[in-house]
Amino acid sequence: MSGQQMELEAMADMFNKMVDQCFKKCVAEYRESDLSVGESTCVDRCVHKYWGAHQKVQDILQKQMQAGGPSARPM
Amino acid sequence: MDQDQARMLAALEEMQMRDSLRTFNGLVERCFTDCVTGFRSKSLTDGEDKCVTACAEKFFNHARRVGQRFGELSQKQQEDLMKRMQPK
Repeated sequence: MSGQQMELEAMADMFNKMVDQCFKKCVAEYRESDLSVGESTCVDRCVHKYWGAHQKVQDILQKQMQAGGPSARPM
Repeated sequence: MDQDQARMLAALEEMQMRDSLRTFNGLVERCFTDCVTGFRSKSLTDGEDKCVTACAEKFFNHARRVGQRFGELSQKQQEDLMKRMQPK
């Protein structure tokens, strides 16, 4: 698999996980098909936070790799 | 279209197919778990029917919204990256 393809897959995977997580955390009931105002606000924040957490972990991972080489193990 | 591009497109199509099948199965599971509670009849009750419908529709509305926010964030990231690469 090409690097470009792997990157695309990882991106799609992250998006799917984000959709799942934020639905679980923000959508409370199924009385209506539309998201309520509160649910929408929650979803927007959830997406930003998920994105932020993703960046954070990525940074840490990168630092670990740089510090200990590619064979560095967590812990 | 060169070969690389064709291969990429085919992979993309396969990925989308896999993704939508997984989304579909996940959605059925989620809406069934959350909406169907009684087994006194073999068809969905009115309430269950409404719940499943709203659940599925709501999920798609939700996914669309997440997609919009996600798009904005990736675009911003791209722009920031471009800005950093340009000489000051």
